[in-house]
Amino acid sequence: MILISGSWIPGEICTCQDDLMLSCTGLRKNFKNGKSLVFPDFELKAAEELLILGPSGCGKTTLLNILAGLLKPDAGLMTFLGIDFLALSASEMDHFRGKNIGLCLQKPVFIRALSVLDNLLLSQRLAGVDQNRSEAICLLKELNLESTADQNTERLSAGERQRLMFIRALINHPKLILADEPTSALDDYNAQVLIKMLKSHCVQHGAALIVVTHDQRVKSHFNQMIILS
Amino acid sequence: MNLIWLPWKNLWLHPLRTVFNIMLVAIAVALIVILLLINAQFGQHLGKSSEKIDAILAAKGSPLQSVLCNIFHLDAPTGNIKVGEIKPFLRAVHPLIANACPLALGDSYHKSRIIGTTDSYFRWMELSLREGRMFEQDFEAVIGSELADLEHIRTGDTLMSNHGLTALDLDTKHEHGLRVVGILNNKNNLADKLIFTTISTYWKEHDHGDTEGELSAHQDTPVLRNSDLDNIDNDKTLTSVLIQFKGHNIQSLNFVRNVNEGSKLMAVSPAIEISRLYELTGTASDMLYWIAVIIGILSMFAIFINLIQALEERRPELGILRIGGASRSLLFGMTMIEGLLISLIGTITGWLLAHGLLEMFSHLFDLNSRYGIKGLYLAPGEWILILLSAISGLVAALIPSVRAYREEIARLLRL
Repeated sequence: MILISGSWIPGEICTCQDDLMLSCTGLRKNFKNGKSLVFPDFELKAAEELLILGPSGCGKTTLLNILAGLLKPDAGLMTFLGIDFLALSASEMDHFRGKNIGLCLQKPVFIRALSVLDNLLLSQRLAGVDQNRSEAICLLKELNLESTADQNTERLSAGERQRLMFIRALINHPKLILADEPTSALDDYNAQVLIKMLKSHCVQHGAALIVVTHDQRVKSHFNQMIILS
Repeated sequence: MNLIWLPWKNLWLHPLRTVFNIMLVAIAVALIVILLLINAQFGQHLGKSSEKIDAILAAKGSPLQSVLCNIFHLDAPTGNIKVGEIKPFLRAVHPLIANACPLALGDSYHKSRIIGTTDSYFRWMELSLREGRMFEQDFEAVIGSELADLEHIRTGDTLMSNHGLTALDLDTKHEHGLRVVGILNNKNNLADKLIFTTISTYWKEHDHGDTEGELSAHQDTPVLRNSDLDNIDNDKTLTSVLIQFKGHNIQSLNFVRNVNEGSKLMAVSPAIEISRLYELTGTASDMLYWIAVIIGILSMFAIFINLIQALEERRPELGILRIGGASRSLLFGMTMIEGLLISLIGTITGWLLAHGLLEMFSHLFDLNSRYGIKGLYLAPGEWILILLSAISGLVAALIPSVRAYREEIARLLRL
């Protein structure tokens, strides 16, 4: 069994219940090969951000998938917006996730049959929010993707796909943004723009941000970190 | 962004595969619809044309040929019968016969047959005039409305008839023309395409070799009614007599057998011959049905395989939809819609194809005039076929849809 030690930087756990967004306690994931990952407890308030660092294979993505409700932990508690997130039924979870969580996967996946813009509008439709074309265009503009709006997603470069994925994650104004290696395919300039955009969204919409990465360029932008080992 | 739009767009990710599926469904549906249309219309045509006729008296030969010739005006006559042999059956006081109508056949105008008959035919078949009057003299004719409209024939026009019934005979024109004196109301049956004249016109057209005495005896006396035949020489010939019984009793049932055994005439029951005709054509029709059904089943498999393949290819996309908030039921529904779209498009294409092709063939091969078959017709049971086809698309999509429903997000995204 591999025990993962975690530490808060600056090391404080927020106990303020008023604007507590996310609380995770005793999360553990077992694997078929006998390996077990135990994650540190942490809490996040609205507009707070957290960086999860660690070497490859230490369980960063697994933790992110558990936080997104894509994987079920074998033990632990997770409260999100005052709701026992892990106790939700599958359909409740789908609905809750669509409305409240913006997820950026390591590998961008889009609906190939749809254009860039339609992918964003579909995301709004699935989350049950009003489809706002002008907002989608505005976000595309912000990340310099406006010219690709009517293109098929297959024709985008790796960097463009990664930026588009972020727009999709932000378009419904989620309360929790989870990003897995968000800057891996981006140059320095676009990486800076993206991180600033994520942070400004969090402040603007009172959302919590969790970023999993091993990209050292990102480190300086975050004041809270967990280092998984 | 409407959610129905997504399955539609997904279909066209692989256009060739989708078009192939749609074509398979369309071919199966088109084949079945064509068979339905032909069977329904041909059956109706046969029934409508023969419903009032219980028996035919004609020269001995093929009974089926006799029915085809005397009722459906398709085949050649089996031969001629003498007036003397049929006189007893034309009497108004016959104990078994309610209606009897003599026919003289063998000439045509373009593709329409010329029928020499008496006024009994018009009363019996309930034919009325749209314009003009009934023929009162020889070489006067009354024609069907469809023929009049198609050939732009008006009353007062003269038709130069041909001796014979086939294209080979078209060059053998008669010396005298038939003057059109009346046009019948449309009845939506064979009468709409026929030309009617007196039996005596036939004799005058054909009896060139007869003795002068025979001809002159009746030259100015047109045969307009059955009773006029009483005064006609027994050796004069005509083609057949159509008969309707007063009732269906033992005597009427024995009528055909009695005539066949006790006279030189052949008596034929159209109902029996038509059922024989159905038996002959039924096997080919059944075979085509089964071929269509097999193609239909193949198209279902093709839809199934298409959806399974598409599902495999789009697993991460389904995962993304779930992450975005799509429920399992929504994925199930969208996969079902894909199957339904293929089957519906295929069904509509096949349905239009069947009707369009049949209408085209009807014009090209004169199917409407000859067999009452056209494309612009709705056969009973077509809507059931459309419903079944749509259901088959749903059945084919069921297993892939259940798979889309049951998959965990982690498996879809291969986490």
